[in-house]
Amino acid sequence: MSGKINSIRIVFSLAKLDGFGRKKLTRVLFLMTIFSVLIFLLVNSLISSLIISMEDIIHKPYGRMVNIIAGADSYNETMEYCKEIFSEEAGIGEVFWHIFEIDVEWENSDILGIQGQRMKVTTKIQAMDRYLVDGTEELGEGEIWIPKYLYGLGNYNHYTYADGAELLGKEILLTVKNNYVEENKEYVFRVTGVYDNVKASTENSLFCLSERDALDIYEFKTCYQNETYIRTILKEAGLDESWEGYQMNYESLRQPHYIGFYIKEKYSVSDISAKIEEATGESCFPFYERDETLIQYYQFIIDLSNIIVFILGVTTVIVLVVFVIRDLRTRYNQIAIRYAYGYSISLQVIAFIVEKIQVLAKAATTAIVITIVMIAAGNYIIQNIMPFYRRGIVLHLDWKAVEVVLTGILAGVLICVGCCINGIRKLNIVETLKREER
Amino acid sequence: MNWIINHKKYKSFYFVCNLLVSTAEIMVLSICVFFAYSTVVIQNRDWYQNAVDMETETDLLFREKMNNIFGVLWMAVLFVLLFCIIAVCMFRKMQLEDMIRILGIYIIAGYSQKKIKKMLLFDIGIDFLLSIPFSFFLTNQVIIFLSKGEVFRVMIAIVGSQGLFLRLNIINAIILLIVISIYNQKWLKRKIEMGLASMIR
Repeated sequence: MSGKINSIRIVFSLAKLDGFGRKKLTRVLFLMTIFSVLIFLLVNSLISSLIISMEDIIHKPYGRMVNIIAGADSYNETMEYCKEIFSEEAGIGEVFWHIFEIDVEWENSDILGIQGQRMKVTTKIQAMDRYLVDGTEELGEGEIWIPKYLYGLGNYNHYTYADGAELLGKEILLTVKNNYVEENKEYVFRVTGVYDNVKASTENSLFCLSERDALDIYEFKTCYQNETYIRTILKEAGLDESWEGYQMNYESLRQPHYIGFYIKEKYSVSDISAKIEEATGESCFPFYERDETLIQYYQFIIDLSNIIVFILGVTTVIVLVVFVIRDLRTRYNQIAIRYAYGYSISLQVIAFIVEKIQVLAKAATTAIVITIVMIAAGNYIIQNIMPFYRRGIVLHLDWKAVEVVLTGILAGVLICVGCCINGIRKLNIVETLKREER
Repeated sequence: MNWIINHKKYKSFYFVCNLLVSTAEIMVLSICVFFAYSTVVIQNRDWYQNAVDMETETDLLFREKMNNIFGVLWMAVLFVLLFCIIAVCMFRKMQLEDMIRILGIYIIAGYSQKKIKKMLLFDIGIDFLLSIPFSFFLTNQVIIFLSKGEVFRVMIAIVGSQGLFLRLNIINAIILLIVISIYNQKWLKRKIEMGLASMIR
């Protein structure tokens, strides 16, 4: 037992001694490893952050929403049916009247430096509560939630914004224009909540209303048609223009109503959509869809980056192999002399490997720590000092890349062992000692 | 020239490794430059602008993120370029350290520093010259792999590939050669300043 401990002690002392004796070479190996690991981790982390950033909408409330069209003549019944059958469904968080973003005119938009800014309104869903930064969670009729960061509107560009929180408690005047006739209707809402539109990945111009108010606006804008208009339509369609005919066809002339389903996180949107389709017989469609051309474009960038990182990894391994072989060759004399002094070859090989493991492990650990610090610092700056700019990207450490690095280091050690064994086989101790003696 | 041929012949392992490393570096540089150039060209195209305009109406995902994402990618490209140059320089340093004794002997034998510099330049120049066809071949393989995506095919059709890649490979090889040549000169100067005795020890 004591013999084994003694051998281990000798291995470590030899490794330490050799490491000190070759400071320059050790530094080259250290720097080479640290650079490659650092760049590998940073590139991978940036790319994975990019992917997460691209896909973050699927974790956001409005990105987890699907809709069905409720029949124009029986939409209330459809809604009741949906609420009844999906009340027990664990994956569905909310069933509500959803209105697609409706264009409205914000009359008293003085905060933006102009009056009459075009905005959008939609139904507020419960999942948006977690993005409330100021105000009350309950959103009643006549109340409105507005974005905190009003950027790219009025006199503001995409990197400057008016703070929506300044309007808390004030009244907002919205004008809605009917789609079919020259008729406007004014609505007054009190601002009771300000939500973080950057975190929620919603647009800069999206106001949230209660279900009832949103439906009112929708019905005025698209469903409600005045009598003259209806009569014109009936005439054009060759239908009965009488009041009875109007009454009879009113429902069928209405625009469709949409029932929205908020699908809770950790549940598959496609699975729940399939269930909804099965139960209602209507096809489900998501609220937000991504542009396929751009998706392909980004996928191409990711593929390209992976190829580049792979080539860099191969380069590093080649350099590492050359380095180890070269280093071992310069030690033949030393190995022979130490052998003459009684150190076995295997002990010296182990010492050599331990020395390299120490350098590689130190370099990898340092690189990982530097990457973590850089990512944390980058995120701290983005999230705290420049919160508004976090709409761009949130940095994440790519743990898969860390695993790859550790596997790579292990591969490096194995290569090192292979090189040692191969190199030592070529060593002729007697010849080397003779040459040294001369 | 004979020295270079002998050096390559008897140190064939280093020669092969050198070819592999320079091929990889030229290839990575070419792909990075091609990608950067294509990105700029494509972003000025109508179809790209149309796609951006369309998605802003239907999707919140990419809105506002374009510039930041490209900023991040450019940063990644810069890191890669930096790594390529560092890797090539460090690899060269290892080779030069192996040649230190013979170079010292040449200086004592009366070869001028200018001649030795030329010799070192030719030594690495041949490696880069031989790497260009390999690099060109491998770059084309990467293109074939990436051509699965329709966007990349459109990019190739717009930007052009064969001629541009060949030119990029040659230009990058020349740039790397210049960097290595400067490094060679600095290294030799430093070693001579340290003294001939330490070189031939």
